[in-house]
Amino acid sequence: MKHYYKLFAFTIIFTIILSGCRKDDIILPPEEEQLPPQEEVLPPQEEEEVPEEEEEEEEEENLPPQTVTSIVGFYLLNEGNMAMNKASLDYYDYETSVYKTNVYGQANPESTLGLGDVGNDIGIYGSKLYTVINASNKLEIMDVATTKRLEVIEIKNCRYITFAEGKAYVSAYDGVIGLGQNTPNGLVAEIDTATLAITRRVEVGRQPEELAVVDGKLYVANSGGYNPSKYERTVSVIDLNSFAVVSEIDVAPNLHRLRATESGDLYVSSRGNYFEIPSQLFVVDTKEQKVKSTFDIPTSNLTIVGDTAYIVGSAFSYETFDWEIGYRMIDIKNEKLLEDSFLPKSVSDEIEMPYGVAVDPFSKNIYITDARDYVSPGTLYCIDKNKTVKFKVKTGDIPAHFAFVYKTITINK
Amino acid sequence: MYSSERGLPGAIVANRYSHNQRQWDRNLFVHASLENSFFKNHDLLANIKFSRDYNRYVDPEYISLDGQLDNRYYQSEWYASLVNKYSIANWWEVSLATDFAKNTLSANLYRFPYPTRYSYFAALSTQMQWERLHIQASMLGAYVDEQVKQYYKGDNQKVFNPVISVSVQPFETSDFRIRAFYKESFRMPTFNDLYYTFVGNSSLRPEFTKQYDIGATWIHNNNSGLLRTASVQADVYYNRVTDKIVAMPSSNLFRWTMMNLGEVEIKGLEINTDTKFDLPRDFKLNLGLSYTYQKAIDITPKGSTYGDQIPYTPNHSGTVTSFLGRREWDLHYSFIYTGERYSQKANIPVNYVQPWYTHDLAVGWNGKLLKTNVRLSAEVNNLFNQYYDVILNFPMPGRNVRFNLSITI
Repeated sequence: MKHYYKLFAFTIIFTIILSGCRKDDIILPPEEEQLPPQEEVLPPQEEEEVPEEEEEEEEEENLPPQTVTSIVGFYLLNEGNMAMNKASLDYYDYETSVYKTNVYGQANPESTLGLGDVGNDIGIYGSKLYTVINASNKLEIMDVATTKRLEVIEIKNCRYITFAEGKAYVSAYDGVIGLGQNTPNGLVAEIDTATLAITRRVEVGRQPEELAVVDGKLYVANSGGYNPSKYERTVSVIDLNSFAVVSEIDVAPNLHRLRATESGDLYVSSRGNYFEIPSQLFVVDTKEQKVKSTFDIPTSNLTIVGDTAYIVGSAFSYETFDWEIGYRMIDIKNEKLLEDSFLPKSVSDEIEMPYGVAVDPFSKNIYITDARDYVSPGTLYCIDKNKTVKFKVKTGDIPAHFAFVYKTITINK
Repeated sequence: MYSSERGLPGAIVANRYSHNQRQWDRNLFVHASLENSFFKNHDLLANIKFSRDYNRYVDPEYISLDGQLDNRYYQSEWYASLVNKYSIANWWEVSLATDFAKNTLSANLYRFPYPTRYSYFAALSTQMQWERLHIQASMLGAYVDEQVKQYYKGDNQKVFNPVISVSVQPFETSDFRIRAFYKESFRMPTFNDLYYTFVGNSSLRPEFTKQYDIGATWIHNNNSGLLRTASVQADVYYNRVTDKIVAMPSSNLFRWTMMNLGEVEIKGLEINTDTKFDLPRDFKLNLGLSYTYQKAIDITPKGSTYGDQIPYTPNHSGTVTSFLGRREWDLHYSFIYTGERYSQKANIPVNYVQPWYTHDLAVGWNGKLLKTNVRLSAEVNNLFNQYYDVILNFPMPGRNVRFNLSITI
């Protein structure tokens, strides 16, 4: 009998000891990495309109002050794999050359479960930073300077964001409330960037993706991705005054990317159907409302800076069961595909799965990310315009979307 | 025959705390076997089995032109095996086993490949048994032929897997034995792994494992006294897994959900003890302890996570189970401990998952009510109401209580 009490006491003590070894949950501290300094790049000065006769005069005259715009850094949104709740924000500060991961968690320790699940898009408008968190069904809006949460806007299955005239426009797979739960069509929501409230909604095609504003009209690429037997082929055109779809432009099946150029063209990518129709890139003339050029290159991501479109192609085909990967450039003035790759071979050989791309409009430094196997921390590469690698740095999981932080100062006041 | 319908748990992530996806399953199987002997020292065993599984998944938040997502999968299997056993001597036995299986899968998906898999296995094995030495050796040859009606298919596979195991009794007493084995095995990606995605499969390679194990067992039985049985088993092992198949949630319907993890090396130690006591006044007590130490690291050459512990594999885990019984009453207590883990390949703070441990308590009564055998029991699981995740973002139940009444007619 005595023996038995001893054993029981032992068991209890043993379990109490085991119960003690659990750490407290902690807010993850951001990890910092010091990178080489950015070269000073003089941004192009905004041209002042000066009447001609004044210039010919030889005497001194005081002209209005100059404003100088420069880039001070960028935010990088890491998607994080679905169901992992691992969307995260990194910040790269040009001035200190410090690369910081997990800046959201540090700035917002009180937010329940953090930034959320699958960070799908990012944008900066004014002093606010907008992130579209797809599987968390929300828009998370922060202060650009502090990364502190300002507002959370609920939008189910939200995808991409763009801005114009004080408004933000967000595409979402989920149907418009009021049309009934069973509509397969998606929507675009309009948000006032001052009050951060949804002002209007419009129904578009099925599973809408990227969107852009040109001349008072909003263009949305529809994918129809939920119906592989019947993909959507159109870009919906929305008049921003009436906030109604006024027309549709037929492009190709399963559209995804949509970027506007300064001259008012749209670069629209099609994912194809992963079988006999390959991924392609199209140029849409917004005045004629039709496709004016086609590039037979797989396009998974692109960015347009100056006269160049930088195109990352990683297209998958179920017919060959392989990925086709390329890093191409298009001269958008002449709509001509350039022969060069925009990456040095050392980098393209190293990248497992190219994902995000951005180009600093002033220095023309190229930033490209490698999502690797989608479940490990990714890598960010910086390549200067002479194709030398400036640095590479570890990011969060699936580094994907960039937002440059601009600073405008007025000198000679 | 088995049928079920249930709500599926979804990841609990920021701003999303409930899910409404549902799943239905229905399984049916028939099975027949035959045993015969054609000549002296010969044994024949034949088995045949047919099974059909139906599986349906509904996601009301995924609305396409056809309404909410409603995927249905039908899987069927024909399986036949034939085992011939022949005893050469009373200590030596050889056997030849041949197996054949045909699996098919169909689904209501667009461009579904409709795969059929023919698997052929043949295993030649021998067993030698002396009083203090047992030896078993076998060689398995497998050929897997994968066919699809359209599009992509998994590769055909040809494999040979040897197995050898030895058990020795080094001393006079039969309580103590030493055992060791070497085993090669492989695991084909299942139809679920390959074709249960929305569009397409995941071109997985089969997983290969080599296992080395050495261990000792000590089992002692007493016919009288307080301590009736005591046993200790301890093993150390070294495993090498190539192309380990792991499931990873995926962020995009067009992307992989399953992946091969390259090369994994596992070094482990496992200890199990079990004791049974006969206490005075008809009390019986069982006490079992088990502990596992496992170092399972990714050693994929040039991988970014070289040297890291693989996901969801704790270094330390263990259980304590105990049972106290007296006549028709019994009391169970168990404790499960799973040490700290990482949710993904990289062993970095963001992927850290807390250890978890639960205390479960149950009390039961067996007896007769109205001449039928009745068992009544009450359980309290997760007694101290600890919050824990077995898989990150899928929280497990807190303290819960369960009552059972079972009647044997």
